[in-house]
Amino acid sequence: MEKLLELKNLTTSFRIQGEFHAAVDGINLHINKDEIFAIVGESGSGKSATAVSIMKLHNPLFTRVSGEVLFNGRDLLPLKEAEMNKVRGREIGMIFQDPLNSLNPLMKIGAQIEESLIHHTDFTSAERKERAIELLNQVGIKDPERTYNSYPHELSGGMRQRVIIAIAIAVKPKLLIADEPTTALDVTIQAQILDLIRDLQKEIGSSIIMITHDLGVVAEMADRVAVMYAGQIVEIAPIQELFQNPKHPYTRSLLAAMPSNIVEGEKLNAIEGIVPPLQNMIRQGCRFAPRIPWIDASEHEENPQYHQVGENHYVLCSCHKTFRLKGE
Amino acid sequence: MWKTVVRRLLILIPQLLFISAAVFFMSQAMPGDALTGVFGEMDVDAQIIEELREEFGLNDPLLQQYGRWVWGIVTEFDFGRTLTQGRRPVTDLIGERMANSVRLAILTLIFQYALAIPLGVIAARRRGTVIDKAIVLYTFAAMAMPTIVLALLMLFTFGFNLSWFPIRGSVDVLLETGSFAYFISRIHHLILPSITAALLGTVFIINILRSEIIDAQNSDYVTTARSKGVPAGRIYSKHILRNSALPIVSMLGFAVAGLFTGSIFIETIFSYPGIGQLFVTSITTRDFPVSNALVLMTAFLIAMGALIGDVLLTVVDPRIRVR
Repeated sequence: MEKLLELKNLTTSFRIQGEFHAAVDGINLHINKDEIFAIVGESGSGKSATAVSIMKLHNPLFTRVSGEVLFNGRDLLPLKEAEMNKVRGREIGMIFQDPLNSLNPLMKIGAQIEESLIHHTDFTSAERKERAIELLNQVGIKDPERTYNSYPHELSGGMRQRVIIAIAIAVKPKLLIADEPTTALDVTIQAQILDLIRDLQKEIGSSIIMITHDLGVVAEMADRVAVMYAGQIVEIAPIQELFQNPKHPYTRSLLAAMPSNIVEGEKLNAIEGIVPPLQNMIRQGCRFAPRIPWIDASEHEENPQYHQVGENHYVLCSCHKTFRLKGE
Repeated sequence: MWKTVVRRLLILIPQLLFISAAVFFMSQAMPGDALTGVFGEMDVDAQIIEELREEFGLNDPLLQQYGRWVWGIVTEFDFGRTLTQGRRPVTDLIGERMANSVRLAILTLIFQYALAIPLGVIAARRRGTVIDKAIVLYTFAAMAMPTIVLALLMLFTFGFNLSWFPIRGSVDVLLETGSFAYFISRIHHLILPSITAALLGTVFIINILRSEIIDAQNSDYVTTARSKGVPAGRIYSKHILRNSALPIVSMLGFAVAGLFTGSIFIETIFSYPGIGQLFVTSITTRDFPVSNALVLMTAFLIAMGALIGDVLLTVVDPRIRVR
């Protein structure tokens, strides 16, 4: 299988009170062509920071990114803004979490879609309009002509998310990054949007990085999954393998916390504690250890390594070997 | 939209009526009247003063005076006559001064925006740098500086010591009215007061613009635009500036109202014959017909300014366009 994107030792640090703290702490992964790759984790695990680092959308005043982001073999990190602007939108498209705020309130929908076309194609203005309406049609908007001339506030949340998807696929990028694309939407609309993304992926033949905290979305969409915790990938596996044979304590806790895995009338399983804030994060040993205090310290590795536990299935730290969920 | 405008104008009627009553009776509560101001310490026969009071209607019951005043305004747009400046109609007096105040205000506005837009944009785009810090320091200094202090400093330095600008008046009276030199002289007289007013007045616009641009830079729609590969220059011109200008547009209505009301401090210190100066004189001489008319006019203009600001905002922001 051919690799489209490869992250090597990617580290993204944010400045907090004058000091830089790594939100993404040296992760390695690759995404194959035509693959849907999911990154799951709680808030603060570094999954969105990873996505934004690939596109280099962080404010450079407050952020440091190091390592390598190889896209088709070319490292994106050293690129200047002008060169990066030829990658953004054209090679990599991005779908955002909050459709309500992700569109410019003062600009018509048509103009916002056409902006991509202005910078990445030689279309005349008539061709751009035709393409914009075609895109609106493609993302399932019923009255594309009218939507073309609408302002964002005149559309519903689901419609706006469709517009954002239309913007992301306007120039048929090879990679789509979807950062929690359904989090802000109603459950009924969520399924529609996921179906749409999956259909479009087949139509334009691109790879997708799907960032989510929702394991249900992962199960439905992804080919492979990386589970992130505290800036690290703790487990990476093909989808079926992860659900049938989860290894890392964090992955298992997440799966146990899914409401669908709980008998009616029983209490929901929550994971104790929270992801530590960036400035207080422990950088040594197993970072998940404080949240599973009933596991003896000797079960963790001092310097956690990745262990292969199946085909394409890797897990961080040796604590998975003896881990039992609380009450098991 | 037009319904809203008409409704707002109708509400204005009781508002103005209330203000007219408040200002009329409050001014009567001040000690003395116009005649005590004119003759003061002079040795004038009390009999004559009393006859004048009778003639001007100052001895009538207050309610009767108020009724006469309001009736005159409503039926003939007659605000009465000045008690101190040769019995001329108040409207004439205000009309004369208004042109001067409008000239001063227009130049002030031009200087304000010419300063605010580049400084606000530069501070926001280079946030955290030395340039930004210098601009922020200037806005704090200007906010802390009382108008009279800066005005006196400017007058003393550029008018008195360096003699670059005239220190009083609105035009050189020896020049022929309407000639080119007369026009230049007007501008020359305007520069010092308008720059002084602009240096202080502009800081609110700079601060609003700077914080609005910084907010917009971090907004989701700007991230969307960047993810499309839109270059930074276009992101500013198409996305950030228009959104950041919204509060400034709504302030513009008040700026328009300010065109006509003049500036009390600036006009007084630069001895510039505008509305602001007229207002101060009319109060110190207890020339109530003039001061009451000016308060009423200011109230009306501020209400109109708010209305104009709202109407302008609906032009720029599609979200508040009413169908």
